[in-house]
Amino acid sequence: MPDIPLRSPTTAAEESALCTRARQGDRAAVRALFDCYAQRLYGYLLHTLRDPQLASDCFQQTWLRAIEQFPRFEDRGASFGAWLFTIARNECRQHWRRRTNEPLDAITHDVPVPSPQHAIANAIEIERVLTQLHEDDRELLRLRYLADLPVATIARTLGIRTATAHVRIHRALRRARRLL
Amino acid sequence: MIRHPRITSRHLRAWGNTHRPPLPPSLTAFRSELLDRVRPNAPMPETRPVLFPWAPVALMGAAVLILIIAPPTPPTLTATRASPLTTSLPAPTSKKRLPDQGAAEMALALRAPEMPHADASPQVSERTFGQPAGLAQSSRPSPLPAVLRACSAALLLILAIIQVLRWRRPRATS
Repeated sequence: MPDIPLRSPTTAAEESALCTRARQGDRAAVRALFDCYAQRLYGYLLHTLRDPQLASDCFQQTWLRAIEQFPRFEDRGASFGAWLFTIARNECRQHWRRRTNEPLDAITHDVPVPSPQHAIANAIEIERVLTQLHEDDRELLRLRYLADLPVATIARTLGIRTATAHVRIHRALRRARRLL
Repeated sequence: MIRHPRITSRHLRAWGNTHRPPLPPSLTAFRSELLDRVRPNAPMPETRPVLFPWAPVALMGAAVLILIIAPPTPPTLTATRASPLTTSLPAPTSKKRLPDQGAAEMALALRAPEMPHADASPQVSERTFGQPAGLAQSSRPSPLPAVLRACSAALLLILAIIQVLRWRRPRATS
């Protein structure tokens, strides 16, 4: 099957069609899915694990597991993103299980920050607030604003209802504002 | 509560954008390796046939069987072997013994082994002593078997419900 370049899916129907093709071994479909989620997944892992090398390892493990288990992926209303981030979260959990004394110090990776000064100040301020939040709230905000996942996908990833995810994100934002 | 003007959804989105760096070269190379692992034209995986959930059906059937086939037994009166001398003879009415009374008692004692059980009817003994002397103590059975049956049936039903729920639940992703 020739590798036809595909654009990233923009709708759930497109993503579902891509998943069907990827399950059949269509490399172009897999590439499109990879290009759609790779950067967001890497950013999520980088911020969660706070170690570029570890994030790269988990990133690769996540994708390898996804490709390996793609035949088992059943599109039962869950998007590929929810499935992929669920695998990534499991990989992070396995890592934390191996290393129980995970240091929670400042971020050590090199994150490119925008040049304007106020944006840097904002990013630093938000980062400071996030470190003070509970891990559950931090995870929600990470999935929502860093991984840029829709709330329904976040709900699927966390195994909660969409309305509950909405409420929790709202409360996490409120708690973040209180910390300022 | 002082609301910070900078922490809004818009600013969080901007923050998220700054934390989505481009992939490092190692991961860019990994992309090619990953695509090589994808087997083109791979046959569709055999989908696991959705079998009828026989296990919960069997569990529910067992629960129904427990409740229907073995219903709670009603309290029954079981006659026991009672001595005819103490049950069927009328109480002595006078202290004076008749000459034939001893012979009659002897004859009854000799006949006792051959007497059918029906002779020692509970009605006679009840009329005589006011209490069914020939009845066993199982006239009021313990409610334990019924409770056990109900508990077993409930447990089986719960297991059946769990089986159904597990059958309907989507499969774990990883």
